Amino acid sequence: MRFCLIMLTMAFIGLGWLFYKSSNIPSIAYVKSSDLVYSYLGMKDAQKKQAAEESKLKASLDSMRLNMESEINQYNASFAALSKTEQSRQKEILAAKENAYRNFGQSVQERLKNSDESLTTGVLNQINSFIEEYGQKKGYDIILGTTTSGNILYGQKYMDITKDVLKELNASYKSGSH
Amino acid sequence: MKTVVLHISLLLCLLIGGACSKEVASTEAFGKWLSNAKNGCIVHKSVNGLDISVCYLPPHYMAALEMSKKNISSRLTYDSLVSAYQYQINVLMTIAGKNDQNVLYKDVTNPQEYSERLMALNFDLENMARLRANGITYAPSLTSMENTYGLGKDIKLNLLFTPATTKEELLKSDHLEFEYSDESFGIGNIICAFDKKNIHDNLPVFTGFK
Repeated sequence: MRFCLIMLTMAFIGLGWLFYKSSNIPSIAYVKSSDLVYSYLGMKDAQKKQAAEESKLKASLDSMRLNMESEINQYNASFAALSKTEQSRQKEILAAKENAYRNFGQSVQERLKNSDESLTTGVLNQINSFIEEYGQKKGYDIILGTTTSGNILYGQKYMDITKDVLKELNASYKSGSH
Repeated sequence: MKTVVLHISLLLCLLIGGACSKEVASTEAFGKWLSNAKNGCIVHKSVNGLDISVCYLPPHYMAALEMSKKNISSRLTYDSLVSAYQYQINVLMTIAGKNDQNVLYKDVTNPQEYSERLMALNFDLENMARLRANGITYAPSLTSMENTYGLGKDIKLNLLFTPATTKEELLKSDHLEFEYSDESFGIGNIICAFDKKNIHDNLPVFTGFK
């Protein structure tokens, strides 16, 4: 009788341990990072914003270049009629303008690079924060991201939650309370 | 039989009507109602370790708030204030951190960055915030930032939009979209949508009169 009781207790402990172990299997899923980022409405809006900024800055750069080209043509056309002093004065003015154009071009490139970086950072922060919330809500222990550097080479289809995440991410972008 | 059906219908109407017409007796109660996300006047977003909430402040609340500040409780003043506030849209945006640190210092590495953030929040909000309604985009007409002197740990931004259209034109839109982008906080473009039914049709009735 005593032996039976001990065996029964041990069996219960064993079963309890097995149940505990099985309930602690981490829940893992993965998302295709680039699909998620480039299909996210927030990213599309950011890209539109960046394109608008780029065309605005390039338009002012183009107008500056056209202006400068017309002045160079004018200088070349009247070159023979100008005195030596006037020629060198005009040349200096044009050189200064060319320099200013080059500096402006560089600052435009820098500005575009900075705005692209800050827009992308904002979008990635939004996605990361959303995935954190999503993972907590759905009870995932780990959500991995496939990248071009190849940290995930293969994953079963059922573990791919890209579509579900993207659907909720896009819904939350222009949402009311969520 | 007909009378019984009529009585039941009347009772149902009264019950449904009673359930729909909510009442708030004080400005505090009104504020509490507005900050309940279920009522649809406040939208919360979490990005980059920040909790951002955008609250639509209806004309009725603004009127009640002004009356409470001036210690007035007359129905006539209330109605007059409500009709004045109907031609503007007030939004309160709160940026809060997830820890006890003052949000103004978040990710700030030098005095220059701090100064730039402060300048942007005080003087550049008209380029950072937008309101879209009925296909028209509005920039804020007036903005103010609380916590300039670091008295609290959250940032509160009051934004006032004054549509060129009349209130009726504005309410033709099924929803308002508030957009905010702030590069210094790295939160990207935040869009918060408010449904007409929540910000207009389902508002509680203010009853805080003497």
